[in-house]
Amino acid sequence: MKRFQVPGTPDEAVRELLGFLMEQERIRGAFVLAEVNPGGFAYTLIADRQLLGRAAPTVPLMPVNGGRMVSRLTTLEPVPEPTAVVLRPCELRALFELVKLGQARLDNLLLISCTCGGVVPTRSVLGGIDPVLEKHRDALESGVTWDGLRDTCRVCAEFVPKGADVTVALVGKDTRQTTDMLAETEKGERFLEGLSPSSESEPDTGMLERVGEERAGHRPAVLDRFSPDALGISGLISVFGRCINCHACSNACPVCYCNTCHFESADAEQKPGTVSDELDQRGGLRLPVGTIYYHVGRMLHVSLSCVGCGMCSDACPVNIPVASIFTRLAGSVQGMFDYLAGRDAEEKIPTSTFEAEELKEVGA
Amino acid sequence: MKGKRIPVDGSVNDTLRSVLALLLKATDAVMVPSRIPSKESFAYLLIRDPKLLEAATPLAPVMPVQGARALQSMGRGRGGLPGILCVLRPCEARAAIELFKRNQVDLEDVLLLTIDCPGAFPTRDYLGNPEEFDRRFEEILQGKQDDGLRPDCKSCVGFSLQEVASDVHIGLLRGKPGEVAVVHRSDRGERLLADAGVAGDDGISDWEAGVEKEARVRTGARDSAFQEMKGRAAGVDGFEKLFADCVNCHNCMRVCPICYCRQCFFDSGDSVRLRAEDYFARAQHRGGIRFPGDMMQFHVGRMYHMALSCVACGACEDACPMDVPVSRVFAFVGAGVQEQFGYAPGRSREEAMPMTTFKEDELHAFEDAGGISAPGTTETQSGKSKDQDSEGKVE
Repeated sequence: MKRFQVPGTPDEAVRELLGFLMEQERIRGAFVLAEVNPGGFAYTLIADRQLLGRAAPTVPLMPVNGGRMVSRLTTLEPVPEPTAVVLRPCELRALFELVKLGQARLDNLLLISCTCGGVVPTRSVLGGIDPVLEKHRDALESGVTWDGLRDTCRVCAEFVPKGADVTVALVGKDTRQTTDMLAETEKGERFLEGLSPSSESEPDTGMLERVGEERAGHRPAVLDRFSPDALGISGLISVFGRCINCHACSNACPVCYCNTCHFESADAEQKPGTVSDELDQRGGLRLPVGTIYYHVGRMLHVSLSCVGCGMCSDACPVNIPVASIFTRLAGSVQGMFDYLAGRDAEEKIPTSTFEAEELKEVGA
Repeated sequence: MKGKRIPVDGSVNDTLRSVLALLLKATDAVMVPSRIPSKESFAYLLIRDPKLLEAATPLAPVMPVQGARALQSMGRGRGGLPGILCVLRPCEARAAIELFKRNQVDLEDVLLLTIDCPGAFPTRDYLGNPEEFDRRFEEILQGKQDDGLRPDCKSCVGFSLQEVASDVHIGLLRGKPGEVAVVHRSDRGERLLADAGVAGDDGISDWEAGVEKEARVRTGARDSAFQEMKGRAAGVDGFEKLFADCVNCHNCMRVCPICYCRQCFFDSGDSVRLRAEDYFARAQHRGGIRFPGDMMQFHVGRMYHMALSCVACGACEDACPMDVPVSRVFAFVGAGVQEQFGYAPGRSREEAMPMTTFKEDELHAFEDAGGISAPGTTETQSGKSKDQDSEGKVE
């Protein structure tokens, strides 16, 4: 694996890389998080090198899931010419799931990702991002998770990207002066050729393992209370009790791609007589109807492709820990099928394949 | 105006609950905000069994779901359900009437009961400390001012029976000891009160005077809120700044009682997506484009669609995960547009929506001045415009 040591902090180094690629006309544009207004970050498609100064590829924020945005860029057709996209590992995995679901195309994309130190809840930087940046940089350098991160980031085991052409080394690295970039594929090497002094090297797997263990250590505290045993039906009802039915979780979810959700379709509208039948049977009912049903339905639909990015919790206006609930469930469901959402763009989603021998644990 | 004066026994909500118990006897079911079992929030319950009224909290400290949405969720053409009494805040009742005009709710078997509204706390604030906010809300019901209410509530001028076509209204008389005043506002409302035995012809001019006095205070608050928003929202730059933190979750649209489309144009998939080549052409033209590119177009489009019916309930802002002052912008623009057409959403079930009628002689203020004046002012705003298309600009 080829290592390129680029001068500057990670943001500076990635900007340098993107500028180099544009200058060499190896890419036509860059799809990257950028500061679109003071303190405000969004994904952008940048075609003019001058604007790369605004790119903030490693800012610990995920206002929208980038995989969902690349889907938006490529739903109708692949990008016409080489384009660099800079995504966090979970965004890249979401993109791969969307490709499998027919919602995005990878042709002509140079995939740049990073070893990920996590992101903070978007709301937490409404007052300004500077305090977060300092804490986050220290945490990244030591490789220790800090408590300002999203819950799902604190427990994330998939912080090393799979399937990226280029990986920017962030976790456990001193990146004040220089930043390491690893060309993980032939394509990556080809694009990076001539960038800067390079050397052969292996990633520091020992350090990455230690970080993985540290994060796994947080799992019980964050996820165990959402296990089926701990939660049960009554717990499920109680945790979603405050839900206002806004469906923000679905709209923010990268893998919930339906234009019209079933729960917003004509089929989900109450039929004449249902409400009065319910009144007859139970004496009363909650309105709007079907709040829990919506969440359970969504679980059934997305748990195989859930990448644990935390967007659902981030968008929830009433602070329901949606992402932790879904991440806990997705771990079980994907485990049953020996599947991990987005680890490989070629791997088939289990529901699209048939195996004669499987799922013995759920059926006689 | 005459009504039935009932002394407050216990808390205001206790008293309202006992009034509801009487009304439930004269109708088939009552839709009322109720405390959820975990006690941490409130949801609408549709109640037939009087025992379930125990959790009912007709005046809840929060409005997590707009009541018109709850009513709408029952579906239309409910066949076999004789009558529902919906307990709503005035802004919720106004929204229900606007939905009725759009054929989205069926009011044939529904009676709307409004209550003098003390306002609501932002839901997220409440969830952070329900006990504290319960206590503060009780104090508000005793007549205390609280600066923590939703911004729209603090400047709401339609908190009582002004301009809302409900069937029954309950006024709060915050004397010592307190009383509530139950008044009918339609023939059906009158029949309901008679059937339930809560009809009366007590004088309630003291309450009417109180409402008038409070309305004057609120009008002042509203004028200054609009004045402030007029400054902040001025021009394309100001408008863009207001929505700068938007993450495009479309929550404001989903919780808006007026935004009823099953599928919003802006969620309609291919029609809002461009071919990759076109995204590049735009990026090249401007140097770079923001994703998703229709963030501002969404808000402006939504405003265009619902401003005439905006009831300023604040649901959009309450559900915004990024604290964008959505509702304050929409209330400001809505009031301006409504004033242009002399229309008040929810004031009457019969009043036609301006878009559905034709008048030869109208909109002079707009056409002649080249801009919409801020509500309550005569000054006009210059129609500053910039070259805009659907993709937001990076620069």
